[in-house]
Amino acid sequence: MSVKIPIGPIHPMLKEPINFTFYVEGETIVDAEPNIGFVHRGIEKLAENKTWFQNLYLLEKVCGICSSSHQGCYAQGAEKVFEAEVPEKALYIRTLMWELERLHSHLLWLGVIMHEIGFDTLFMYTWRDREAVMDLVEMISGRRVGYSINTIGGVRRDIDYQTLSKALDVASFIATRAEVYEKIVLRERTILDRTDGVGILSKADAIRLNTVGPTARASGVKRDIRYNLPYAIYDETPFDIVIDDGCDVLSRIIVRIREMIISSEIIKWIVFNMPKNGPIAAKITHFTKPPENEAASRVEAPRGELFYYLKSNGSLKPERIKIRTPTLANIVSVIHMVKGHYIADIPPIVAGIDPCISCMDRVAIIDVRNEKKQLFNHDQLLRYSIKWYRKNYRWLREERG
Amino acid sequence: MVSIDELKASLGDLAKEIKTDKSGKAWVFVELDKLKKLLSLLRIDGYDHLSTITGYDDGEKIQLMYHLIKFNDKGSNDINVVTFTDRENSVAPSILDLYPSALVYEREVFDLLGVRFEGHKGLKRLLLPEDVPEDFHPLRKDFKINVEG
Amino acid sequence: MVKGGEGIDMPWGTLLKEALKNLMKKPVTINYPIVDIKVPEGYRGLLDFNISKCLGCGTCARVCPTNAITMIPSDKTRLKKAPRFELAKCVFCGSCVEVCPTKAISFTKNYHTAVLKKEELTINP
Repeated sequence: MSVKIPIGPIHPMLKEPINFTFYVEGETIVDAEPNIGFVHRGIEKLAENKTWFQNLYLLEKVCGICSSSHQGCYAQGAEKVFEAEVPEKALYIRTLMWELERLHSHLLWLGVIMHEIGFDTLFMYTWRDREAVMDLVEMISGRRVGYSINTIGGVRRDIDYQTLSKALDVASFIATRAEVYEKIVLRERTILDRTDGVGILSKADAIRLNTVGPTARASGVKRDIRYNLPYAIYDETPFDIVIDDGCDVLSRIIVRIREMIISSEIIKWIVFNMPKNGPIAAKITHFTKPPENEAASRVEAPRGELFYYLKSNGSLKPERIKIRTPTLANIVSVIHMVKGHYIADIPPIVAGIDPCISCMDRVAIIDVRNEKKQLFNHDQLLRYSIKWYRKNYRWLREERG
Repeated sequence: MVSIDELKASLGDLAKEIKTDKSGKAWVFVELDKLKKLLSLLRIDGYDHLSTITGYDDGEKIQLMYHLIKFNDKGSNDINVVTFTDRENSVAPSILDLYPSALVYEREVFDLLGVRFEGHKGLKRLLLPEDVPEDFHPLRKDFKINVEG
Repeated sequence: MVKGGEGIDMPWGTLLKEALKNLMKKPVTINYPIVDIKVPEGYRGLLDFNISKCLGCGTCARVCPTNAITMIPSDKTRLKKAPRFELAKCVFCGSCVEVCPTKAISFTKNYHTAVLKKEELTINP
């Protein structure tokens, strides 16, 4: 006999809807099943009806936070299809925007996972510090979100000395703040109670289930597209891969904080080594026809490996575009990770993979012992888990060591 | 980069044809019944990361592409395996026992293109709602959409 | 399993120092719409169209990704056609600004796009 708790997908907050069904015995989870597709918009079919240049502005809207990664990966693949030479200054500006995007995405995620635990102080601090990065991005590209800086063959806007010196200030500021956050996360007892030893994914399982991104690097797996298959100018920058052996949610937080410090170093290197003059785009116009060709392109987005496949048939519109986002690749790992944990651990584990189709709006929990059903929506699940931890933290501390 | 001659030597006569594109990446063409044997040889060689499975309908056949990566520090490499299946009664062998992450990718190809994977337990739609008709597969070429704006 | 740090929270640790520092500062939120936000140069706001420079070639309508520009008959241009901009459909990408041969279209710094009727955002030639 099992208790089924269906949780519906609609919640009018910023997050996207997803539906999970959990099978439980008492408080322990024995199985889980995801149910996705509530934000399916048919973008791959729509992209076959628009030209190569119009697709630049369609594909940057696949995701709001990693919009430059999507547009940059598409532009990189289209440059292989068009067989175009990209000038060097354009690659420097493109990489600068990728690293700035990684900074503000990791800061946003840090705030969100602290909110899921109930530690709203850090949520407020990180989102305040994020404003410095958003102001800089607005100076470079003209808008805070949806900054379409890429085009097929290069970038669309040049950058001047004043903006470059502001980029140096922002990079140093964020590096200092990231060190403060690392100290807080490793010493606050409330955070350690909820994240240390929770959501274990061993190294062998991470390799077997093809996990990508910081979730895999927090299990000791040395996989990063910027390190293994370098693209743009990553083989020249002082890039250091960040790995940790903890295999739990705390490791994922530490890996992302340290990646922020590495990104600041890369931004400083780019500012000092950018070529002074030169063209910023190849000579391709909106009405140039590509040869018949196909190409695959990969980029390390803030959440993991982003993959694009493009095929052209010689006309102005593409024949096929295929997108595989990193969150889809990590869903199989989440199903494996929750087994054996308590219901109150669901929010940090699911938020730990940084889902871009984030948050179960309502979660269904099914108790396999006595057929009882219970429905939770997102706020109720968070309040339930905080109250449960307040009551039970003493014996949990002894159990986890 | 792995050269064509090394690939040809290790894969033998399983592959129908091996091509490289301008950036040095290999595209391996194989018949449908030899697909699993070829993929298991590649997996033993170290290609243990499956990026995704792409389906593409060109009007006469459905093309299935498997994109793999071998991670080996600075000597990593990626490869693409291409195979074909019919448009009527499309079936293909499932590779769930070799790559567990194919659970979601095969469901997506079944949902949007209608290819049945034999050996995949629990093959059902992934993205579209449950109450659409049986033969509703949007990425097929004969599925017309109404675009305005 | 705890990495680094002492593991025991001290009430006079890093977090308390942060909290005391922030006690002396004013709030970071800006009181929009009472206070106006200053945007930098080069901001991509609503479009501005100068019909005296327009030729009527129609390139802007061909490149727009959302079909927000339509060409209607008009006497004010050389080729007897002029564009109508439906800014409620605009995504502010800047393709039309890039391809116009006479630079008749440009961005302003106006970011107030909330209106009561969609027709208020349409620019008729």
